[in-house]
Amino acid sequence: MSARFPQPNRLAQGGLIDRNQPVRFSFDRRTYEGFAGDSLASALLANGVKLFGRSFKYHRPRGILGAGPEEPNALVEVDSGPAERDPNHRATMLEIYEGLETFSQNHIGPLSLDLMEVNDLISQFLPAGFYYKTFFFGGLQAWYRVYEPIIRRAAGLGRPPTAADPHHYDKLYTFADTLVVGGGIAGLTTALSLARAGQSVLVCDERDRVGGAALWQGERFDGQSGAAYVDYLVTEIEARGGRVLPRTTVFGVYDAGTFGALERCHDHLAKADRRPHTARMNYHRIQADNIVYATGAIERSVGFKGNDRPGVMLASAAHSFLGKYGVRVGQQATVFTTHDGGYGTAAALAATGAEVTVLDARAEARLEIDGVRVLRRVYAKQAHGRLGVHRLDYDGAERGSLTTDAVLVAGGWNPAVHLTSHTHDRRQSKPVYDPALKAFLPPELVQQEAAAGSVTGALSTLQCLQSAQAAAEKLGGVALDLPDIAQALPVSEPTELWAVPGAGKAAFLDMQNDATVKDIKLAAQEGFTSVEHMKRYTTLGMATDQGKTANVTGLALLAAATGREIPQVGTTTFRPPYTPVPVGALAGHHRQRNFQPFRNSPVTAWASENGAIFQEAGLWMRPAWYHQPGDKDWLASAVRETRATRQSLGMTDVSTLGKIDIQGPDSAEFLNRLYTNGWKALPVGKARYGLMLRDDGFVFDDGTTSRLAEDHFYMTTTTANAAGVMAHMEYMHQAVWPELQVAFTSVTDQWGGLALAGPNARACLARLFPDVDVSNEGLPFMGVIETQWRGHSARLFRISFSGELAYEVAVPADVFDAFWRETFAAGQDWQVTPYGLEALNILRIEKGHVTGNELDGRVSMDDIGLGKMMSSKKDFVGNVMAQRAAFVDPERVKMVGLVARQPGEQIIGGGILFASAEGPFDHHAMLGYVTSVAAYSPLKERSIALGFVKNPAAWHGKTLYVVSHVHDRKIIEVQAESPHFYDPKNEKVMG
Amino acid sequence: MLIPCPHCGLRPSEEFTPKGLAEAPRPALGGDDRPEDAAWQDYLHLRDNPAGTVNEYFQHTLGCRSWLVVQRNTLTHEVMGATMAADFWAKQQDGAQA
Repeated sequence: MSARFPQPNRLAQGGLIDRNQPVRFSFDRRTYEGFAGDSLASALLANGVKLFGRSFKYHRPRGILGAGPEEPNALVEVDSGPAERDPNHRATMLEIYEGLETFSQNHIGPLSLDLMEVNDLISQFLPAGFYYKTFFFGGLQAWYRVYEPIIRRAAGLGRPPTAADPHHYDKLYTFADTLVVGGGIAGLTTALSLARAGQSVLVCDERDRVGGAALWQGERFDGQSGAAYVDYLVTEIEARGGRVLPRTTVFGVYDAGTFGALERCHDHLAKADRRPHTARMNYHRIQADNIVYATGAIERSVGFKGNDRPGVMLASAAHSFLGKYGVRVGQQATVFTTHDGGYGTAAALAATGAEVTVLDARAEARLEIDGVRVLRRVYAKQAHGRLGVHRLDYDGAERGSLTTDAVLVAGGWNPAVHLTSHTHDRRQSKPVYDPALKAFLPPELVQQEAAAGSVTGALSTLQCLQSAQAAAEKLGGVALDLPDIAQALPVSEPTELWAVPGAGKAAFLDMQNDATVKDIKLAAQEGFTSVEHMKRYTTLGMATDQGKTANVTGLALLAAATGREIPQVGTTTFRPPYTPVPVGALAGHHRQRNFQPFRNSPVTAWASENGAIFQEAGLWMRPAWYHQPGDKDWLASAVRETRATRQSLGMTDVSTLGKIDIQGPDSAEFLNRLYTNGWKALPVGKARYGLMLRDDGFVFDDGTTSRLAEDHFYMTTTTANAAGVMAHMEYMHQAVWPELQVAFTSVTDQWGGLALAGPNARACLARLFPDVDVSNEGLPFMGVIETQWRGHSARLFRISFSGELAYEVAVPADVFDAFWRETFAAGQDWQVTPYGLEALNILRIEKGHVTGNELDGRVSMDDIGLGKMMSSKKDFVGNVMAQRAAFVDPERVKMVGLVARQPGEQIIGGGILFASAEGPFDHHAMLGYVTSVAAYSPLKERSIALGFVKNPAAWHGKTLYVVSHVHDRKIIEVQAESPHFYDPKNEKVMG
Repeated sequence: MLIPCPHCGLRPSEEFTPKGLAEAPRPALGGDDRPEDAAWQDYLHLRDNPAGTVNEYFQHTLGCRSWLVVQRNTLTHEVMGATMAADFWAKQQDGAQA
């Protein structure tokens, strides 16, 4: 201990810290020194710091209540960078390291003089439900403009980082025969028994060091210290192949042997010691056949006035600071206890030379400790000391006041039943109240589960070990001899005392959300008598600590206030996570660019070199337009590309279409059943447009399928539905028609495809394939030729989506880039223009071709004008349901073309169609809607669109009004037309 | 939740895509069903939502792509077993005949 950094509350010996390794860290920019092995809480307490933060609602000064994950008060921010700043670390769980920077939270101005403490002075006006009741005044506008900004400024726990999280997080699958949650003496003993029986065991403990209370209680096991005995257990478990993970919180129990756990790998290391590119945290998805809940118990406080003052803490916390860290939290300590357990803490403190007084609430208490004053039938009435307790008033059999610098409350133990209950609501089994222990015990456990240690209600270490023996036996462990326990601590069942007589407003239960004894009474008075209602009304247990120290006391007080028994009130539902889990840990590497996979077409490299602006289409990145010098904006590019295609020659990438290769003698029969039109008569060397329906008769997908041989087809699907069509085909073949002799596989990634479109498409194709007859006779509309390009397979399809004379050429994906470049070079004589999705869209809207915008799952074949494609000579998927009356109702909306009346005006996608510009614009007057919009059609020299309207033929030539409710009811006047704006007789396509 | 794929072994449920109950036999194509007939309407719209053990379709989408019928308890997510979809219906027919 250096002279510059005295640690006034640190004892010269004792504890598991390394006094030879001083560690410097800061709290609110002041530097302190602790030792390796300290938590932030223990190190600051050693330095005499009592004040750690401010409460959420009243901004009351707060210190440390607990010593572990249950801590509600001492939450701190770690680090100060915009990305690194990490709020709401529990000081009791945070291990110090050289250079650690921490900051208190939730105050304006210095911690000791928080301006928001005014909330505490007016707290009589801020009872539970205050916000609900008050801010109705002035209506919703007042809430948004006045109240909410003020409340947001005042509220909130910590500040979130403002830049992206720079850390790595990993996800792991972890397997074990048995998962043991909690590495206390009971969990380790159970694990050892199971490991000796040959099971693979995994022990997870949330603390930095396994051992639980054995590390600090001072009991001896077969003559060894608790820490030494724990080391022996861990060594043998590991020698038998078991794993023991410290700093690993099992936060959730899920169905069928799945458990979520968070391992903190970095946060305890000095920054220089954190290996780059390794994970800050590991999110373990654990799969285990059995689970042992050895989760321990959490001590509870008692409601009395000022029980939140800094320096008032749980007796077990003070005991563990002493035993684990060699920190004495007070020299004039007062232990307020409801059971014999408080005497163990009193004795341990007295042994260090502290002056200790015990206030025992019980009438019949009998324990005596040398050198400790004991007052019986006495309870703590009020603690004084705004920034640190200095006096305690007591009442009962005697009334008085004593000077004290630490009030240690032993209100009884609540078994940590959280995990045992995560899946039990589904099994209609809830935690069970034990009237002797005044606590809830785990619900009935199933065959694969066992509980060990104080979670079972065991009070003494011997009882804990006996419960571990029973748990191990249940899960097939070998019998173990238990160690002799010396210097055992006194234990007893507590007397029932949730709040002292007269406790009210400043007697706190939930310290993080500032819920008081009075709030519970108020909730009961106002009729919130269900525990779930009380919780929401008072916010008890709704903060980041989820009320670990508060909930049971709250519901016990609710029971008293409503004249019921505690089991009748019951607990609220326990849900994962047990303690907070960073979202980054759940996301792992699946963020930003890796959030989902993305797919590049084989033309991506060339397109990037040539000005393409890409757009996401499902997982694909597709060129949306190619920016050229002189293009004013994206629309100018798209219109230039459209004109060039119509006038001479365009080329576009169609590699992203789904492609499925189908082979086998029943291929044609398979297609006949999937598609609405017939396939058996399709000759080899021909393609056909096909439509598939869903079972319910609505249109599912469309595409062109070619017959390459009698028993060989090549199907294309839309880009968006490729995976869905494949899964549908697999389902129909495997589950419904396994008798069909057909095999198929996705070849989307194996073939690249480009479309050549425009009046000069044939000339360009002939140059690329000089040996192939691509004349109108050699390769007629819907013809298919299999040939070669420079020794590679190539398939030529005479199909058109643009409405021009057009071909699609497929070559293997690995030579597609070369083929594309050669096509681009060959097309220079006709000023070939590559076009992107935007031009493709203009071209197909002018032609009246549908895409996913139209095929939205609500349209029938008749709606898109293709009703005649339904074969009546065969049955197919969706046939029967597509005959339903509603599908042939003449009132259905059907596809229509729309042209803006005003040249400069743009039709709005998703707009609603009405007959009148006067309104009303509601669903009664609605005639239809807009699905696809071309911002500008060179053909019509204005914006055009496709949409759906009732009885479209009757509207052709007439005016409709597109109204967009999301654009302030903007109204656009349009003329209805046939959707086939361009070349309705198909002369270009066939020519 | 783990699903025992007959091809791939025990795999996590994230690799699978569910489709729904495999309880109702699908009306065959080529019948003379008309929309007024109940078979398709029932098949599509009148499904049970049982609390307990059910047979459900799952596809091993991120594995062998087999369509399976998985026996699962909807209350506890306990998986009792999985068979290939084709085998499942063949067994059902054998059972009906026997």
